[in-house]
Amino acid sequence: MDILIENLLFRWAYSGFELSVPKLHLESGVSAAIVGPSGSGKTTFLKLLTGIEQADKGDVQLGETLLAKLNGNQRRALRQRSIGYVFQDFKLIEYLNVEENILTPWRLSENSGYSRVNMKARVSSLMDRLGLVSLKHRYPGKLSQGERQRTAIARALLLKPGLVIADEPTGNLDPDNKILVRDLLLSEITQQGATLIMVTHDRSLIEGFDRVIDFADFQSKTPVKAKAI
Amino acid sequence: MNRHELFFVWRYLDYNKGKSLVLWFSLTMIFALPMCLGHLTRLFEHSVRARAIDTPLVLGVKGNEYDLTLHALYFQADIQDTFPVQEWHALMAKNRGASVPVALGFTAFSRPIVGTTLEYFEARSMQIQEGNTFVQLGQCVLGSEVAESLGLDPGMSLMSDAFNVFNLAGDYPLKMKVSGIFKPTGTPDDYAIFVDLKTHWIMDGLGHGHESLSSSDDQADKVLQTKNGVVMASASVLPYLEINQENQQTFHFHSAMDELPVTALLIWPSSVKSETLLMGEFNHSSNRLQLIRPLEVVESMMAWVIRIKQFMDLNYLLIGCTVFGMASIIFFLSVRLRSDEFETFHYLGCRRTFVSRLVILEWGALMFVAACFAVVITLFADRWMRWMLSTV
Repeated sequence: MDILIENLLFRWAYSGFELSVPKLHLESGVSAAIVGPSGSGKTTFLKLLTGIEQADKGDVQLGETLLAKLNGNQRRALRQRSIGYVFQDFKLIEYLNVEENILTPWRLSENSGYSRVNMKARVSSLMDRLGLVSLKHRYPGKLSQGERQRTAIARALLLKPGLVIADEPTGNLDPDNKILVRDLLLSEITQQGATLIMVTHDRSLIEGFDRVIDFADFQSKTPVKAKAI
Repeated sequence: MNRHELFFVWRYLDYNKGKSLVLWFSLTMIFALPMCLGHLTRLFEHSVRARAIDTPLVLGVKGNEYDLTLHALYFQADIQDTFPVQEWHALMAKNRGASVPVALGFTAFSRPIVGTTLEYFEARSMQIQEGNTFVQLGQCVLGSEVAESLGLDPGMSLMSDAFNVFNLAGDYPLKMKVSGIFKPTGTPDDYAIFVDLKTHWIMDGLGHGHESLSSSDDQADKVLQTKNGVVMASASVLPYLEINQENQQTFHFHSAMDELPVTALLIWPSSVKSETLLMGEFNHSSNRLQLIRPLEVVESMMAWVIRIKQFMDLNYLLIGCTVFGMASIIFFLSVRLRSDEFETFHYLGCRRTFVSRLVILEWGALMFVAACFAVVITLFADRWMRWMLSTV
């Protein structure tokens, strides 16, 4: 999924924090790492990309769709259909086992167009690739951090989204698992032909990404363009 | 609501079994207790009133009106004071309506034995399901529940309960032969054993049968003395414990038949005038008998029941408010605890209303199941109450 951002400006009213992105273009199938210190607006940027927050100025275009022209329901439907999300704290549903957690986006999507049989096959394939087969009946509370994140990745990939957003997916993992999860994300998403945007604090993980977007210069109340390196 | 939403609801409730069970139980009790109480009170009132309406007047020895009503209508409450059956004959002679004598005091397998006449069955519209009504001494007809629970059929026998095993000279248990079984009536009649008045008097020791003293070989041991044609037998002459074709001729009473006791008379006056006249005849201070209207007694009893019900209703209301308050706290705490989960649903593209629907469905499911169980409990309580009303 192509991503085009022009003259984007977002301001948090209560803190005065501003994020400004004059221009950013990510081609379909590209993997991009966003780096920068805490509070530099990385997560806010992801929320703007997914339509959870709306920009004060400028626009975000995902494929052929201009987010500013969509109402709340349409943005929600777009998120459901075209965007996979991987979180730092996994955000798995505690009362669903691994298999059921992976199936959650399908259960939540109203018109995914996938049958139950198709979805079961897709889940089996994802679990097989991510090494989750033997854990399919386990609940999140009984999984290691790495296993939880692998489950979250499988969930994000289930409906074959055009864009996968990973918000510090390695933040809670040990060094070995960090590399493993990054590699899994890159390989799975490349294989699927989707665009990947991953936010990370850890500059050692940017290896292997096509693009790196640095938010290091970003300061509160002083709009600074995000720098591509 | 779709199957996926129901799936999330089911998985959440299943995963949190402990919490769900506590909430379900609390809600069930809150629904069931007032439902049961209301239903049982109505049932009790209806059943008790129906029996009282069916029996306009009851005559008995002066005393507690409630006891007399419970005794004559529901075969409960022991009444020691009796009156001679000649009161019944006198009443019949006045022709002021139909009346039936009732004598109680014995049991068989803890079921009351009711001594009465065939008119009782006609007055209560009781119909025979199997066999016949009693036609000779020692026979009994069983209420439907007695026959079912004791597994008795016509032709079989049952013993009356020993009244006092230490009284050697007293009344002996009598072996009764089942002549028939009544159809179910849903009244205390289903739980009673009916015998002829004379059979009841024999159980009472007022009549008996024994071997002929004149034909006995060891007459000297059995006859204490003979004076003016009255034979006084010794304790070695044992009475028959069963009445059959061979020995029934030997059964006799040692007092005038008119003097034999009954405990109550059920009266169906022929008119309002007859009823008024009867009330006037019996209810004066010099008469040792009293004539009561069971409906009035039952209604005064129901006034107490209703008052107790109102108190219980208030009690349940307060408990309900407390449970509702606690459930609300659990609800809000649960929603706060699950904010992360709900946020995840939103990120995954769910409507905000999805989360509300989910929570409402979870509580709705708990309430629905609780309400279903409350209905089941009420149905069981209904069966129990019907059984109680038939036996009490």
